Amino acid sequence: MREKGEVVLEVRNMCKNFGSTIALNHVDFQIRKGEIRGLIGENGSGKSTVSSIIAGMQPATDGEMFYHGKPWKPKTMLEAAKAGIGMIVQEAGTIENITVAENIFLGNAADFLKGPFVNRKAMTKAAEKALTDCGIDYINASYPTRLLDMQKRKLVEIAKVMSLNPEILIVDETTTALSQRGRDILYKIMHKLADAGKSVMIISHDMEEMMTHCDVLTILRDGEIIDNLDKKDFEDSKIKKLMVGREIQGNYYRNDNDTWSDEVVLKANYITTLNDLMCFNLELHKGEILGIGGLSDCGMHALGRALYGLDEVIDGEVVLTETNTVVKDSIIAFQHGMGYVSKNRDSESLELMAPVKENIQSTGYWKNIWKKPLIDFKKEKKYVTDQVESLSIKCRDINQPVRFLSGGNKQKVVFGKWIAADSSILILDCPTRGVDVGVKAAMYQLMYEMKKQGKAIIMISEELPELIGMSDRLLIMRDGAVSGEFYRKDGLNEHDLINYMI
Amino acid sequence: MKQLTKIKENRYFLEVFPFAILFLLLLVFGLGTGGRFFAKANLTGIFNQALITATATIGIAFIYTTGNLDISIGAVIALAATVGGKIYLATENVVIMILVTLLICLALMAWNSTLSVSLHIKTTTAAIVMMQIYKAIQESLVGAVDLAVPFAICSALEKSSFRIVTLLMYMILAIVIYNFTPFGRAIRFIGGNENCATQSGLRKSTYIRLSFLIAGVGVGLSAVYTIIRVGTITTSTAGSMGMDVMLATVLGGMSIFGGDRSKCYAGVLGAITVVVLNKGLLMMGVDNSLVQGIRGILFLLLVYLNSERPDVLPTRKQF
Amino acid sequence: MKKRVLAIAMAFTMMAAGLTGCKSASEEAAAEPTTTAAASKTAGESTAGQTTQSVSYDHATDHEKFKIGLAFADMSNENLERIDYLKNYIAPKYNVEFIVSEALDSAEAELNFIENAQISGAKGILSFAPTYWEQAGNKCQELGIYYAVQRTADTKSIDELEYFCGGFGSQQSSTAAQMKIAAENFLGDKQKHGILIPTLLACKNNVAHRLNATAIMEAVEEAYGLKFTKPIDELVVSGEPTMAENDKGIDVYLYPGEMKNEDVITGISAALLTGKYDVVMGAGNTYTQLSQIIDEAERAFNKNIMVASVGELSESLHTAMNTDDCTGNKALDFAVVKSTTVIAGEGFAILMNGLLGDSDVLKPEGKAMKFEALNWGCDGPKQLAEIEQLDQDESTYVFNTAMIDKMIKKTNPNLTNEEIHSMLGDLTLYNCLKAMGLTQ
Repeated sequence: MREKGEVVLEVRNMCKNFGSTIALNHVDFQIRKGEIRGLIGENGSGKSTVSSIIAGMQPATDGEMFYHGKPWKPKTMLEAAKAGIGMIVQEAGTIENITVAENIFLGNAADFLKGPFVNRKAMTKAAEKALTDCGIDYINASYPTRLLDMQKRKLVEIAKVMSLNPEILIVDETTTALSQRGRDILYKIMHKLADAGKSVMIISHDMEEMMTHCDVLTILRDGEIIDNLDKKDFEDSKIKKLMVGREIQGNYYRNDNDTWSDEVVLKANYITTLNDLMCFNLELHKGEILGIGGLSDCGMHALGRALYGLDEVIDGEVVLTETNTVVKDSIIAFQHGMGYVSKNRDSESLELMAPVKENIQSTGYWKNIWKKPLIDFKKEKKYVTDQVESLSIKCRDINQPVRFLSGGNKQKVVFGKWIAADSSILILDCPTRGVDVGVKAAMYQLMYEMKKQGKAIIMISEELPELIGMSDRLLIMRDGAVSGEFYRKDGLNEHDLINYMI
Repeated sequence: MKQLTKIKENRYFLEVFPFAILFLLLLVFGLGTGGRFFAKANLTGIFNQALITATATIGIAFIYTTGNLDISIGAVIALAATVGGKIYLATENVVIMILVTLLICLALMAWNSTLSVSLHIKTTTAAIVMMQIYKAIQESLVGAVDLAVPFAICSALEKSSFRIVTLLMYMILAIVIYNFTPFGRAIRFIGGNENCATQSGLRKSTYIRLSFLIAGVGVGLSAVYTIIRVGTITTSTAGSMGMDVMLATVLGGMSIFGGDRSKCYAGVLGAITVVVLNKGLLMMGVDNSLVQGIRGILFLLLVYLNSERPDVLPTRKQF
Repeated sequence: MKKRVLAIAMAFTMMAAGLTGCKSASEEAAAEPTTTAAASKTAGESTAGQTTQSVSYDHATDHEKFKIGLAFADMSNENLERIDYLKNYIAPKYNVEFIVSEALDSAEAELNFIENAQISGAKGILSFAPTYWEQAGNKCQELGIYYAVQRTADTKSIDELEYFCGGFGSQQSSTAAQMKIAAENFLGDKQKHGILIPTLLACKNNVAHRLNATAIMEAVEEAYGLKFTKPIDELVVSGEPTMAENDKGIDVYLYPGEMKNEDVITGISAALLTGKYDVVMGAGNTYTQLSQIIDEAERAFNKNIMVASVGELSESLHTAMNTDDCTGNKALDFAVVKSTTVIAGEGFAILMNGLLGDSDVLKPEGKAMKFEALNWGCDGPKQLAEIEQLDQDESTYVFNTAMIDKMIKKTNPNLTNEEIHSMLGDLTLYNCLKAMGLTQ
């Protein structure tokens, strides 16, 4: 391994268990001055656990840490932050109802005390400086945070962490929430820190990003460190192989050019919703995978919800052509064989407290009937175990609450419930978000199989490669309308598509 | 403490724990009173005292399961019992009294659910408002003189098998609906994650209405039992019912916020636990001022152990 | 997690503290009898001369230890004093043990308590919770345990039950009589007064309130020799605030409703602030809730308002009767009070007769009766000071063991029903003070 500088932080023999689940299994590694270290691995491999322990969010079950050569055992994130370990977290870390400045100096307001009162002016000024220091000059520090969009809030968090001059900056899956502009700001900060002899640790699923910006990659799998790679050894397929533990083909998308039927199964007739969509038209055919892409706020997520009857359609209608049924709400949609995978998996697609069993069962209450209205327990069990087996969902047993599963397995459960329901029309909103390559590959395979069975799929995604890789037909949206329509058979090119998005 | 948490996380813990506590209490009191605790008269007493709360709680469990709360049931019982009592005094017909009381509870619970489902008011808010209104109506109906159903009638009904038969019927029905029908599954799922339930095509509003209706039957029976038990209906009848039901639910090992681990028999267990504790301590000759203290501490402990606060994977809440 | 450990630890320390506290209290109680035995002995000796035949019965050996359930509707100061009197003074002397209820706020709670007490071995219930007398009486009959309740109003439907020993309490007519005295005191100057009468629940069939209001109205009638245009019976039960019109043009205003009702307080306050009224006479306990608005009115018009109310011997009564208002008069001018031990003691004596198989002395005609003690009037701080000497400790208990012995047939074989009533009727303030040697 390249010796970049002296060791700032060392982790020795760290273990972490959640109940009977082992998240970290005797992990050792070091962070050196002036390096940008990437942590990479499948969902549930332990990346976030390591970083959260270092940053004081939770204690380790076993093992030691040394920071500047001294034992390091932070009790809170605040303690860690004050000692120079700052972390930008994956989820929202700002409080909505206070100002940007207050968020930045949350927990450090004492510096601005004037008697018993906080000197707001000084605080706002200091906050503005903290923001500009990070190269963010378009956020007003005196604004209430709720007026900012998610992306800007993330930037506020970055400024907050940076205002404490961290020795070690930990960036946990932050880039997915940022636009290119935001990402550039973050990359700049990272490199600046590294050049100044500080250290950066970044976690991301974006292979390209990691390979461009990291000096060293630490690869985790099932709570163990598999390998440390120096920049010169970075190679896409090699990393993937190390992550998953088996050979993953460079291209795991479908590579056929199969056609689809002419039969229209779902139709949106000039639909208008309260926001985002205006006189939108769409036809979905049997056996078709229809990709829908665009920027995050182009209206494609609203489209998915509207098609499934979750968002109110105030004008026009969504029609299931076979039975000529108007989809007014999700109950009608469900009863006519539609299925919907939300992009907010944990809050909408799963009941986290309930076991795997209950979640998959939820689509089959009226299918697994013994004698109306009594349930057939045997049928019900088969309904679940079929899915757990065929999707190889990793769980202790079907009674394990889904909240204990990793992201990829959770998503498999979501897929499982719709496959079990035998839905003929599936609307998938960001089906591979936060899912590692292994599971991704399985999902794509599944979608392709469903297509072959004659099911119709709408795949809404923010990732162009998978849209290109999987769609038969691809709609690019901009400002709530279709800006371009492309066909697989004509060949799809990322560069062309981006032009239609912006 | 760590081990305690580990035990708590066990899947079967919540199922077994309330039974274990009850068993333990019975054992302690049985030994402490030299077996007197298991005298037939005392067991009948336990049944009598737990009955009203237990029956209402079986019903209310359906509402709790869906993630809704209804604290107006005390007022509902009082109002229904008042009207039932008045009807009896007017007609001198026990059957009519029982039917009217049941119907009124059903109607009031249906109205409560309609309010919250159709007008999109939170059930808690709707219940608070309606509680005031029901209470006011009941108070004006009771008027200056307390309402008294003749003691002989109540006593006869108390001695007959009416209560045990109706309770068993209701309990069996409730358990079957709760555990063996899609409806029972669905309300638990709704209580766990409403959004997810809607997306899985569950008819949320219908199920919530239905759960209120099933609760209405339990509450109605509870109102009938109240008339039978006390005979006199005053403005303070069933006053603490709302809280009693919550306590019984929690002691029975179920969260009042519903969800997957709900069960409809929790209230029965909880209500019996409360009565056994009260009786046992008194029979062992524990001083009254201590009884309250011991009960408080035991309840705290039970609530702590029954509460479900799992250490999930990183919560990622900052600071 | 730490917090939870702490919370549990605290809960246990609290319980431990409770236990030790309790232990020391019982130690005290255990230590006490040596001194009290001497005191009661002297009391016994002093009465021995009058009732020589009483010595033949010994409670400690002649009957098993009775358990008695004490039912309370609330834990007021008065009730706490009763518990103290019964548990620490009565229990050791009469070979009984008390099971004390919690505050029984519903019929259900009371029935539960009676059942639980019975299964714990109670043979009788002494109830200071009168509201659900009918259920409680029937329940005791069903369980076969004796029952006595603090209620002097009608209990017709349970009067014939075997196990019902009777009602006890203070005589409502004696309160009314005292209220009449107060009215006479206030209006004796023949000046023109404006009179405000909170009638409380007289409109809702509360007998005591109705009797008191009637007595006050009669006194007003007499003092001015006036005639109300409507009958007094009708006026006092009015559910609306009513001006009692009369031929002399005296302002008499009746205001119904409970004192805990905000509207009632507001209404009375508004009436007082018209400046028309300078006499306020409550048909029940009114002075605590009204003291503030009366003070406001006095300040607004700088004139004295005379106040009479039913009271309960306590710190607040003491303060009210000893505090000057802005005009230099006392905040409370007249109160009707009762002895704490008399009510508890008579109830106990009655129940004991039942328990000892002497129900015939309680109900010579087979029907339960009411046993009523007198209320005392108190017209100022001086008289209050006299009253406050009573019921302080075992030596000043009005209803001491000598009194109880006389009222239990086993220790006073010649006891008749009439004698019980006349003994209670003799308990005037003067007689009690005299018996204790406290009169000047």
